[in-house]
Amino acid sequence: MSTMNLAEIQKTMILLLTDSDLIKDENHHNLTEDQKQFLSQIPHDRFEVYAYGTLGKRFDFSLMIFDLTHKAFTRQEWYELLEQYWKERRNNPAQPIDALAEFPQFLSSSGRDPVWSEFAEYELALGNVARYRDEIEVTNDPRPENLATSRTRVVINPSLRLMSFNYAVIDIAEKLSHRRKPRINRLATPIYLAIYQDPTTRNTRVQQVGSLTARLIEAAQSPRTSIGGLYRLVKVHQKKLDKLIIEQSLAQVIAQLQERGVISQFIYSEQ
Amino acid sequence: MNRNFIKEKSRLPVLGVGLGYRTAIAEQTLKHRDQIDFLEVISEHYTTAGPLKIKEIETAEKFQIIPHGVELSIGSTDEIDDQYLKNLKQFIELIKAPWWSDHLSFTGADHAHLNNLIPLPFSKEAVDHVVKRARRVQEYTGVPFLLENITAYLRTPGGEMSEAQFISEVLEQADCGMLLDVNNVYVNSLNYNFDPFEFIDQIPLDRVVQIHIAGHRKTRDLVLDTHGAQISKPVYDLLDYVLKRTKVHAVLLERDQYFPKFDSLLRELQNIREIAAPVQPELAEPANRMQFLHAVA
Repeated sequence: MSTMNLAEIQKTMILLLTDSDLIKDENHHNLTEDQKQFLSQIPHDRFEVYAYGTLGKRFDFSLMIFDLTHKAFTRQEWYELLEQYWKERRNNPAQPIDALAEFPQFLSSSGRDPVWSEFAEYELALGNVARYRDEIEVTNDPRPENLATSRTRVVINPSLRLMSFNYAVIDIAEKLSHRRKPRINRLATPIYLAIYQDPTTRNTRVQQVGSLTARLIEAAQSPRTSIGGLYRLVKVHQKKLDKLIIEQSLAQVIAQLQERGVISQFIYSEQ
Repeated sequence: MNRNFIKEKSRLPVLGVGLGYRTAIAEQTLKHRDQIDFLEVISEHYTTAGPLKIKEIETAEKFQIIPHGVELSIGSTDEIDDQYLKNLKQFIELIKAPWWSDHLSFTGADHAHLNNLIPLPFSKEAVDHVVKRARRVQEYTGVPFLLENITAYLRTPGGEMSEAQFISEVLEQADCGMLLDVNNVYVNSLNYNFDPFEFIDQIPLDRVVQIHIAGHRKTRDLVLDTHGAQISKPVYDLLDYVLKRTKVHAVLLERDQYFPKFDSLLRELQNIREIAAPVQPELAEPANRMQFLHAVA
């Protein structure tokens, strides 16, 4: 008679449902006596029904989350990738998008073309940005002046994710969405994408930015960076330019980022 | 807190005959308010979704929406996820749901999640465990909670009672309601060789608020609850049997795959209405539908 309590029963069920190898006779030595007795009370083909159902549900989730990435693979390849992914991850979060968070790295380690790992990162970011649900506060305050010495801070849209890619992921997405074969070329220099929710429409927007603008956004995401700090950052990279030109260029970048909803607010500080 | 579910049930609205809201049929669904009385959505599609997904719900606001969860994992020995409950409560409040539901099962344990409904052992320990958690979630959300009987393809060892006894004990002790899935009863009756009508007689029908009905698929060894086929005659018979025995507030058609032409789903809704009409006319023609038809006339 088994002496397993509810927690042990559930743990054993999950173990047997997530590792089908344990059900095979030759692997029973890995089970405790209680687990062996437990297993003997269930027709083994029923575990397959659950394993199949679980993978089927996860397969459906993966198609939603990697709506385009999966199109780069045959159905069978995708299914096998997922099967392997979950075999290696017993403990996973309940939310499918969180459970699939490591899938891009898994693609990379599984020997697939590195483009697909990057593309999966891109799609995952789109999904994560889309589910950002807090308010995005926007103020239309006048933009600060005297940028070089300004202690005012810019607030970057809190939904924003800044990412760099070695492949033209936007073009690849366009091709895959029309079921066309994308051209895969590693770019000479990486591209930077700001992926964020439009504060007004809440649609997800993808904005390609230059490397210096990317550095500015990254720096501005730190609550300690003032506009004066951004000015000094530009100065380091554009040593030959004089103060006036740097200020004008920075003002232009700030204006564009504010218009596009990348900058959502200014926090003013006494000079 | 001194609650009494049966009294609460009598105050719940009669929603009529509804359809599960699914992306594949969303457009058609929203066009047929005159033939669909309410919608049921999978809670988790919205509780963790962003604002655009929530907007989908706003476009469906002419329907009463009922949240139906798949990830509460009421029977799991892992802690209930507080954030999950908080999001769920917010969603229930947003759509002003008169009740909400999830399954009498567990979907994970020991911090591993299968996203699949796994049967609990029909044990006293499992009853006590579920009762405690069901009381907690019902109290937290402040809205009546229904537990649904699941399809089970295996009997989890450790059981001490029948499934009907297990369900009865949980519902009575937790003082919550039931979402009776008549297709699940039928599928289980074929897989475990029992009389589905006797099963119905053994559960507390007075706690049934809502019914799920769907299609299934027979394979060589098993009958599978697929939600991907037409409702079969014996399942309609079970619906009729239940409706003759207890007042039900809503019947919902679940269809999750192999979607037919929308007309055939509407025909199935009509079949349900015809079964309900002689015994529960208010369910067949609920007040909310009448109001809608008058408003658009």
